[in-house]
Amino acid sequence: MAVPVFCSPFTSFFCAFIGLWGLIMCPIMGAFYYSHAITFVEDVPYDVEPSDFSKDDLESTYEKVAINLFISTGVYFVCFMLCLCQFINRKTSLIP
Amino acid sequence: MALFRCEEMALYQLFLQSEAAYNCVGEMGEIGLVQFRDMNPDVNAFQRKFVNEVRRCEEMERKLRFIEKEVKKEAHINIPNNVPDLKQVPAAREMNELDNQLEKLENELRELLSNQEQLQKNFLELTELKQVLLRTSIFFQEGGGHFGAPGGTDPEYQIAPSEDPGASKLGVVAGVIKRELLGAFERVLWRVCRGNVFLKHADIEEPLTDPTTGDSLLKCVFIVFFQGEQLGNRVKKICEGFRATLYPCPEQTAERREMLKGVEARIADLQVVLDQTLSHRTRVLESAAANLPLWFVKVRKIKSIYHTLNLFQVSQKYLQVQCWIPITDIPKIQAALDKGTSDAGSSVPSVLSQVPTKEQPPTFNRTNKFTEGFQTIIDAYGVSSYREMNPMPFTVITFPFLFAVMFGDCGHGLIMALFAGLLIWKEKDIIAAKSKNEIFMMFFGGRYLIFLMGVFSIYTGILYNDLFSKSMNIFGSQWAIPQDVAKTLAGYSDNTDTVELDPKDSFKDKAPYPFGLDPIWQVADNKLDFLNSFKMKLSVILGVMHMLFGVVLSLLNHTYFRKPLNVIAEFIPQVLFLGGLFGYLVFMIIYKWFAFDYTNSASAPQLLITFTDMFMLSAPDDELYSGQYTVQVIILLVGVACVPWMLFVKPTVLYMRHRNPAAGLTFKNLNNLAGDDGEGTEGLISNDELDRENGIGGDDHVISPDTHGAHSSNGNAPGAGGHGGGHGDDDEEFDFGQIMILQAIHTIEFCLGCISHTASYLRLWALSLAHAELSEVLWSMVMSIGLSYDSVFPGILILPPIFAAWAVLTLAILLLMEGLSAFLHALRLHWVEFQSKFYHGEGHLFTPFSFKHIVENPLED
Repeated sequence: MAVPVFCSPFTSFFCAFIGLWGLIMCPIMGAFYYSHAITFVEDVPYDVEPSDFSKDDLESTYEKVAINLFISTGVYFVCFMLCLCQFINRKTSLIP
Repeated sequence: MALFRCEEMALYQLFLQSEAAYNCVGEMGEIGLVQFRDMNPDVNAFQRKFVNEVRRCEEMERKLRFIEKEVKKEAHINIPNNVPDLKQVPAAREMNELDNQLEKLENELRELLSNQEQLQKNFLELTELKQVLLRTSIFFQEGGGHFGAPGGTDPEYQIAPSEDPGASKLGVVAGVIKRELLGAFERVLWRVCRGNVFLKHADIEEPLTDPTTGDSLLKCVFIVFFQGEQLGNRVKKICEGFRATLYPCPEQTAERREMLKGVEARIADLQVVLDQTLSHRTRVLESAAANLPLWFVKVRKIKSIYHTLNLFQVSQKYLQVQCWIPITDIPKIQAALDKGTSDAGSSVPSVLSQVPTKEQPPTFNRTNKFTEGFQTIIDAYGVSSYREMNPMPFTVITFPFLFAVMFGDCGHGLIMALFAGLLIWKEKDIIAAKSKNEIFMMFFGGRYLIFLMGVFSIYTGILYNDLFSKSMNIFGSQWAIPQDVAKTLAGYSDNTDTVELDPKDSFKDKAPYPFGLDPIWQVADNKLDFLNSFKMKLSVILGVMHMLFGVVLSLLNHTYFRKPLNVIAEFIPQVLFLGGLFGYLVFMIIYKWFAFDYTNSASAPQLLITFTDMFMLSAPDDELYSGQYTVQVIILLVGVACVPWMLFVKPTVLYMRHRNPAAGLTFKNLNNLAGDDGEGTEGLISNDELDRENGIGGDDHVISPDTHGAHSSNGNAPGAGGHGGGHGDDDEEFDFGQIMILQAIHTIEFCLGCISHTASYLRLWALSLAHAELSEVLWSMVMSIGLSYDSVFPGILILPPIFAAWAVLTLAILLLMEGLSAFLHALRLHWVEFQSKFYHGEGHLFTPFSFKHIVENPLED
């Protein structure tokens, strides 16, 4: 692949690693958000008075955040692919 | 058993025939199991027998390094990196062959180098001459074509118009000078010749290469017109001073053109010759480069063999040396010696015979790639004394476990395990790459250690229910908000956003979460109240168990070294003290967990107060169990009684034994009891069942020389111990004062250490709390921000970078920093708290003569 090389082998490996981590973790988190996991209840942006509390609203907020996470999975996929190409094009050994 | 203790070693004397010596020592180097002793410690390095051979080897190494340097100058030639070790001893005659080969190669290379330099110098001269010829033609043309006539165009240099036709003929000097010197040159010329000379100069555009240094220099052509002989001399002297090279420049254009043509032809020829020389040199270097690593290895092996031979005691027909050998490897060594002897073509076999000695043998722990990491971290604190219990097999499990208690997080453990797994998977490649980066090699050396640490951390992460600071709800929480509380939730005002759940109503089925911490605690405000108490108690339990285990290991040491006195005078009071007092604390902790639940938790006594009251002998207000006061008094009295027991029994017994040696023919002494471990040097006679301490006299006796003939006579001990109870040599003093002081130090160290070490284990709680809190803070301060957008538009711009930032911070802070911190603390717990109960660590390492070690570390000599 004729992608121009623009970062050092270590940077490209590191970014590829972060990309891979995001690629694996974001969909898993997204799946948990989609299934309304209680463990994330403090992170969900649903801040209303207790009297206005509605379970359906809470769940739809959960799902919106889940969508965000799935989209960011795509972003990480692109990042991972990019950095992987960088790394392969370099063809140098990673061992310092 | 060689797993729990180091190998049994023996001191042997090796006799080698002179012809076979080289090959035999080479075979010893290949198997790497023999540690030679220097038989000539007083001899200067230059007076040893084989110093000439060593010098020859060093010369060869120098030649090899020169060749390597030349090869490295040509960047495109590759020196092969991994050369498989042929496991062969290079034959003695190979040294001569190699020497000749290397000498020829070196001479050839040097010749090529000097030829090349000469050619390049010629080339430079010719190039400069060509430039001079080219440029000066312009100057002469500017001069109006009539050479000798005054240059009328230039008002500065007015030359008197042909008053004296003879004197007005101008002399010319042309040459090349470095550009930076030109300004100074012009000024000096002006001053010295009082302005009576005419200088013109022009730059040479392309830089020229200096043949010796290889630098590229910018030069320029100059031409000086002067009148008269004297000025000419002055000009020439100045040119010499500025290191300008002068070239003869013919004045007529036609001559110049002829010369130019000739010069250009010569340049073309010279270029061809230069190219051919370079290609020849490249060919020679390529053929050398292929063999270079092999030669290096061979030369190092030969040099190390001669270094070792220098340690031998040399006589007419044979060489002899003393060496430490592991007893189980004797057949292997014998076979290697036979092979060496037969390779040398000698018929006389080499002789191995045992030497009785009282020295402490070196400690040899056989390790494989898995156990090597653990053995390294133990040896870092102190190499185990000869034949004492090696803590390494236990450390394989306890160290990752204690690390994991401090690090418990599934996600971080998973990353750690994956990282180490990658290192393990690629270990062959990484070893072959021979990296010089120390930090990376340190991580690589501990890859199995890190892998186990990661796996154990996943386990404790499941127990603490912590995955990147979030809990996993696998089985369903056992807590639920009861119906009547839920109904009133809607009426709560903003200030009370917490609900208190009474376990009576909210705890389902009275059964706890099946494995680990209930996930409800993550959203509970009083999570830390519960978790702190739990982790502190867990740390104390683990600590007391670990320390008791250490004391039990000391029992194994005492029985192995046949010291019943130590068992009675040290082990038993230690167990009673530690187990009685702190074991009772552990018992109370566990009992309280079982005996009290939410129904009667208000009446549960505080353990700390109970424990303190026990020492103050005051009756408890609330009792854990009936009869508690009596039990505690008994335990306390026993514990207190242990202190004088530890302090006085052993010195008294030793003193009495010292005073009445004849009366010492009791059963105890038949087993050759030793005194305390004064200076730690254990004697090794024929086998290590008969130990003998230095510094203590008494009726321990030495095996008389006539009984040490055979080696490894395990059955000898009881029999030999029986007779001769009378002839103990009382040459060593019996210093009661010193023994008493040592015993007092040991006792105080143990008793106070029990308390302080038990408290020290609370770091297990402290670090796990710190890790959990850091993880939670990182999530809430960093990751939460990214997740707090419910619409796609700002959310998708912010979430990926936030996630990346969170990931990088997790790696840097939580994995690297916390990982190193937990590693260090777990290591400290092992080194100080655990090993102080049984470990002496006064041994020295076994450093065999091994080619593998020498070839890999060439800089050590």
